[in-house]
Amino acid sequence: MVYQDKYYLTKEGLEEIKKEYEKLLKEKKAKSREEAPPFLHSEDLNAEFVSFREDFDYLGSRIAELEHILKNYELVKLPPKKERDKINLGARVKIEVNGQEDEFMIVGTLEANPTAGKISNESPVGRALLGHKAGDEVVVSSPVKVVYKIKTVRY
Amino acid sequence: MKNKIAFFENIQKLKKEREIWLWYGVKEPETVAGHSFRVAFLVWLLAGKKKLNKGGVLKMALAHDFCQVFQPDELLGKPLLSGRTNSFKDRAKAKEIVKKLLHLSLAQKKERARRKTQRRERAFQKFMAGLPENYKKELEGIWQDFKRGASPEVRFVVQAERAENFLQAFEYWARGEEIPIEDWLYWAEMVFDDPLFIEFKGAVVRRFLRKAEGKDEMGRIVDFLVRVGRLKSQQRVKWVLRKVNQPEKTADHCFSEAVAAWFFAKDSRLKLNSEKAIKIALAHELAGVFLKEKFSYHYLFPNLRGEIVNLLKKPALFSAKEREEILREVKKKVFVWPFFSARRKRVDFAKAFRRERSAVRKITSLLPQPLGREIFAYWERFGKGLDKEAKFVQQVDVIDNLLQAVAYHQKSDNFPLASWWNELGEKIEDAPLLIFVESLRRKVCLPR
Repeated sequence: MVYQDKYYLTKEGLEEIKKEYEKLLKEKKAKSREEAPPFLHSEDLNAEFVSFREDFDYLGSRIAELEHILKNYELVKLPPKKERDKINLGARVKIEVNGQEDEFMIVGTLEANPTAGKISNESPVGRALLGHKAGDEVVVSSPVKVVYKIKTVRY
Repeated sequence: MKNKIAFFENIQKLKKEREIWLWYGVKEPETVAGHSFRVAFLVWLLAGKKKLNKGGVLKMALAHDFCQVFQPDELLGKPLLSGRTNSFKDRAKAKEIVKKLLHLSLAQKKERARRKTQRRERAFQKFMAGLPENYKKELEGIWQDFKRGASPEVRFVVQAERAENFLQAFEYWARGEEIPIEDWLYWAEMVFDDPLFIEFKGAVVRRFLRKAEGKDEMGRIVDFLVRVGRLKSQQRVKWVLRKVNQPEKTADHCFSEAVAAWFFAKDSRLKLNSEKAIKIALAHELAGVFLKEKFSYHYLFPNLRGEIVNLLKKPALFSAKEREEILREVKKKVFVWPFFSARRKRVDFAKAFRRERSAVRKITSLLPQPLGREIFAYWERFGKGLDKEAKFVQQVDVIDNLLQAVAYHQKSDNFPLASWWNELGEKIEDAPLLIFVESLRRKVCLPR
């Protein structure tokens, strides 16, 4: 798997990760208490053993992944009052593009879900909007120039 | 075994049109199976650039739309746009709905995503009900991964799925369909956050908006995928000649065969590498990108050949009456299949293989070398039956054709099955596959 240097997580996102981590640890513990099925079944590789091994390996790799996230996360905090007019992670942004309004929230990659309105800070739009304020016009031009008028920024 | 059969019958149901394109008014759009086929190819081509579980991402790509057996594709905003029609047949309203979906409030987006997840969950659980335990376990793992959405493999497949949609939207736009391409560009700026897929998006745009054929690596990958996309609309000759309405496409067949190869390979008695088997199934019809499907019985119709070929290429050129007449002639002969001598089969195979090999060389030469060689090697393995996975997929190929024929037979009793059963007798030899086929025969042929 590809590990990132830093993961931006909201409080809710972090809770989810922690919950999953604890659940998987319990599962792994229970699994290691189970007796592994025999390796061979009448001279052939036992399918139950293969499945047992696969489950165990999967749990191990997912746990390692989550541990890495939990060691390298940075909590998305509410910015100080004087910074709250700027778009940062966790901001709810209302914009106008070509006369149409749109609204979304800027989050870290792990929590991005554009269908639910959560845009990654690493997407072209996310990147372009970071640091801007209500009233600013931001041009995203890959490949067609589109002007994003920022209407409101909320936290 | 009953449940195993039901699983494969359900997979055949994914050969239905994707609703998203019907909302855009696209004529004869791709199917869910065709879409998943190209997502799998895209994943195959790009996964090498990341340190990912390659077999795992391939399986996720094939499985990502399994729930659509019981759920229409992306029910557009139904709960949010009350009072509006939900029919894509009302073009003006459909356009308005599609446009509006891009500009919902945050609360509406959240609600829409919540409902979508709920619907998918219900559909997936319905799909899983009664599946054999080892099938269920693997699919449940993939599904849970998708729901969490946080593993690098899932994030990669989700981006690949969007990339395929983006490419397909441009292809429809280029052929003159009413696709609001500026909306798709707007959407793309928000949904891609992986640098690899941002690069892919750029290559698609260069190809379609700036008409620049791919010179760099990503551009060549896009060119290759565009050509592979032809298989999504190529109707399979064997069904056209049997007058099937909206017949299966080549990409549909490759998809269901790859899924069948994956799940049949789970039988530990076969001791197979499922990733290899899936790749062979995905690549085995690549020649179709440049060649019309060769119908083994073409030589039976010397006088009709031109008409058949034209009918297959451009059905619109023929009136309903002419079409009927041609197909009636074909039907007379197709209902009684002649058996070929061993020599004839050898000669025919060698001829077809040479023709197809040069077509596959041509298509794989579009790709950067290591990738092109890898795909060519998988195709060649299938043709020559070079290893146990290839021999196995050759058998799965026959079973997949049979499953499709059974699906047509279930729709219409007139659809002949005899030739498919005959073919099985010659080509299936692995015990687990023979057992499956025997159970299917009992289910289909014995009076209910």
